Amino acid sequence: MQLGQIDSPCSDAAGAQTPPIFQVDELLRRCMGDHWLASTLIERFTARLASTIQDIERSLAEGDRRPATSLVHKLKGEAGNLSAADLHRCAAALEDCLRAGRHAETDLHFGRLKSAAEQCCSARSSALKQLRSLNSPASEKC
Amino acid sequence: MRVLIVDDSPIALSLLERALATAGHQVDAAANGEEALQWVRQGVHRLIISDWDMPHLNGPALCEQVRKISAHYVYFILLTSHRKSEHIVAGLSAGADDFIVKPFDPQELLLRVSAGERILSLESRDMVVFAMAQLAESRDRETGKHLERVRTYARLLTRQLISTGKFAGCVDEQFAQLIYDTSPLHDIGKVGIPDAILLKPGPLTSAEQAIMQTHPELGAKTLDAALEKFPDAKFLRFARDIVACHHERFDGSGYPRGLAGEEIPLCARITAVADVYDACTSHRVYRSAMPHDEAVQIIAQGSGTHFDPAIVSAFLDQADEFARICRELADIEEDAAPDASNVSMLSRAGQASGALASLSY
Repeated sequence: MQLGQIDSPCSDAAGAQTPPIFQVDELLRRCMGDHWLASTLIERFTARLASTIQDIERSLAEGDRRPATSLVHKLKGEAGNLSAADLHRCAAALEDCLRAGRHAETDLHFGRLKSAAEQCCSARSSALKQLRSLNSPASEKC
Repeated sequence: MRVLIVDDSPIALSLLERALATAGHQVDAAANGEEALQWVRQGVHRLIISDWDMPHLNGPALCEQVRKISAHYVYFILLTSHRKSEHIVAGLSAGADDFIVKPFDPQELLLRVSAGERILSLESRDMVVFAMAQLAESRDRETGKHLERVRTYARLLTRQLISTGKFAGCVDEQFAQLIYDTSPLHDIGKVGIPDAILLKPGPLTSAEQAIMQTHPELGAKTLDAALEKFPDAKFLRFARDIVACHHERFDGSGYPRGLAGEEIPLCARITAVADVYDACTSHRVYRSAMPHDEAVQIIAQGSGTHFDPAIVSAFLDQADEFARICRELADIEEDAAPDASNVSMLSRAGQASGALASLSY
């Protein structure tokens, strides 16, 4: 599926203010304020996100829904832990669809997931930059 | 506290580890259920936090295994995105103590771990109970391993009853834990028996025998006093039933009250089999330990008279495991010393033949 075919992301309402791809403040809270850990996790996650999406796509193409469901479930958990809200929502929607056997919707939800994953990869640099700025002496003074 | 975290996601493990380490916990990580079980066998963790969905061995299945193999109580928290009631029931049925919804909030995680720590501190209660039981046992020169064996046999019997579905709705893993914790108290009433009788190396007179047979009631009275102060303490009530009734016999010929059949609390019927098997297979200065097969024969012969047939059946199913425990928790020979209650119990029995008839103390 091409990105151009995807009609909308998994955001709650079209036209609403777009939330950040990574909610950095929230992620920092989960990391107990550890900037280095937050940065490392974003780097690691985004580094293998494309291959995770490929694995899911391959499983779906082979009609192997069980491993696909497992991979999507794991991705959902990681996205949630990293405060990547849209990716988390898209993964949850695809997982629900797979578990419920709503085969007709699979392509739609996978497309949204893929799009959200690509947005995460694109947002990596800005998220890391934001983390660095939050960790700078200037921000501490503020 | 040393905490084991189990998750197939390295990200989740990193976040868990960071949160727990911040609160001063020592953390070990396992990437799957099998790896977690290797840790559990080392017995160094008091608290486990595990993801629910993992390949091969999922969280609930891991929890069930932990409940089976862990020697002490391990507080088990499941991390899950499953919020439906059937999942909660499945988790609780597997023995989980708590749930945390994913993605977890680190502050909530730490609060729940603190709650677990508070509950685990109650285990010190069990240590006190065991110490009290050992104190009582030390008077008649039994070794501490007698208590360890009896509690292990009793738990084994209970688990066998659970697996067969016998007494379903009555026995469960909580029952198994309670019997493990409280059965060491079975002879606590011996504290009130005079040394001249308790330590008498020869047979007891009928008057002495009558005094010796007051030990279940003496023990029960002690626990009754505690129950007055703590009427809701389930473990005390359970312990009291064992103490008061472990010398009752299924056919009503036991003491102190001559209860029969299901009038005898189940925990006491189970402890009776465990206690008699241990008496039979333990070394005494006046006799050698009875071979396992002979002890099995004695228990089997007592089915329906001395013992509940259902429990004897569970015993026979697990006889090999009894033998293994007996070997593993055997007393060192020089520890064994004269014990009047067991002299009168078995020396007159002339070893195996007719021994069952004299298993009266």
